[in-house]
Amino acid sequence: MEINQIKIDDVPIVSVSGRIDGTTSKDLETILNELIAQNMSKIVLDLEGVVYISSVGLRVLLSALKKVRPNKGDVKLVSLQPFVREVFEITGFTKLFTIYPSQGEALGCFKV
Amino acid sequence: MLGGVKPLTDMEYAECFNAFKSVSSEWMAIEEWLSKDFVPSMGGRRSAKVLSIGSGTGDFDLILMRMLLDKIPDLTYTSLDPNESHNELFLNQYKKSGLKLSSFRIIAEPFCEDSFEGGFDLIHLTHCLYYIPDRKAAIECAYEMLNPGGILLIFHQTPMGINEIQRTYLKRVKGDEKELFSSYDIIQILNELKLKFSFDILISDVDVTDCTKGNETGRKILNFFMESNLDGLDVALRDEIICNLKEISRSEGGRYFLFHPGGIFWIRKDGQMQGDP
Repeated sequence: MEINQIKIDDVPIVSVSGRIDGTTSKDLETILNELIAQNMSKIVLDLEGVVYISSVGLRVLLSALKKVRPNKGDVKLVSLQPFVREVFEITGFTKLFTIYPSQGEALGCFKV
Repeated sequence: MLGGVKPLTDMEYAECFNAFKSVSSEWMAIEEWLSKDFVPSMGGRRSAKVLSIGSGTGDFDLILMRMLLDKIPDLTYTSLDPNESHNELFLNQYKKSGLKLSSFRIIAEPFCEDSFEGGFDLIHLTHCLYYIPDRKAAIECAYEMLNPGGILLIFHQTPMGINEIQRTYLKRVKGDEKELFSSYDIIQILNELKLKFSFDILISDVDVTDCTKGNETGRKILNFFMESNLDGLDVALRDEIICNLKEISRSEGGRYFLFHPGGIFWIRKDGQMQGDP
């Protein structure tokens, strides 16, 4: 798994590629927790390069969402591959997360 | 049932459930959700009539009763569960609790539309839809039994956690998978019934380390996962299940934690979602 971070208008954009599973999810969890600890409650998570996500990975995303929501924050997801989108639909995660086709649209929604 | 695998008796089920409960953080998560999100919205009324479908050993209901009594002085409570061992445990716990409800009864019957007249302000189905053959009819019936403005709460497993294990092994282990039913299926049913709902997922884990060690607690937890007495299960298949369980769990400090989140559905009879969590 590879993780890259940039910041646009003070909003962190975390791009992940590869597999988010029991072995790799800890790295993503650490990065998200560090951002939240820095009071970054609005986060864009680009999953375009993610080919697989396990329930351990889903836990990391849900945990981040639950941490930022009380501060009126959100974790906005970008570009899910068909397999990952199917996992999100089956698990009900599509009812909790908003998914955007591009980073720009996700960022735009934070500005509204 | 396949050779060597037996159904759980009521008493065995109660024991296995208690073993599961002792290693699951779900009840704590539900309690926190009730306290922070749900019960505050029930305030402002003098009385309420509650129906608990599949009340089990009553752990959830005792928490809910205590929280509701803080807000609603006149509370009428009906609990329904066909497992008499569970009902006995529930009644004993209730007697010890010192809770003062206006009325409380436990009925040892499965849920069906002929069970009662309606008129409830709150009905909850907590981890019981697995055991009801016609789930759509049960949800529809429970909804119809609500007073206007009444709330139907459904707590149920998601397709993650135990459901993952069941999808892979339930049929191979016990020959059928009739208990296989998740929040995904509930969403389909609610959409078919055209009922508006809110949905959330509570983070919770099951410490499955005992399963990997093969001790007595682990044996009961695995029985609970597979809804069967696995004492006679083929050893190779048991090892395969445990290996899979380790694979889908996260490892921390030498222990294994299975992510087993709880799905919550919140449906108000008049369809108004304002003020709902």
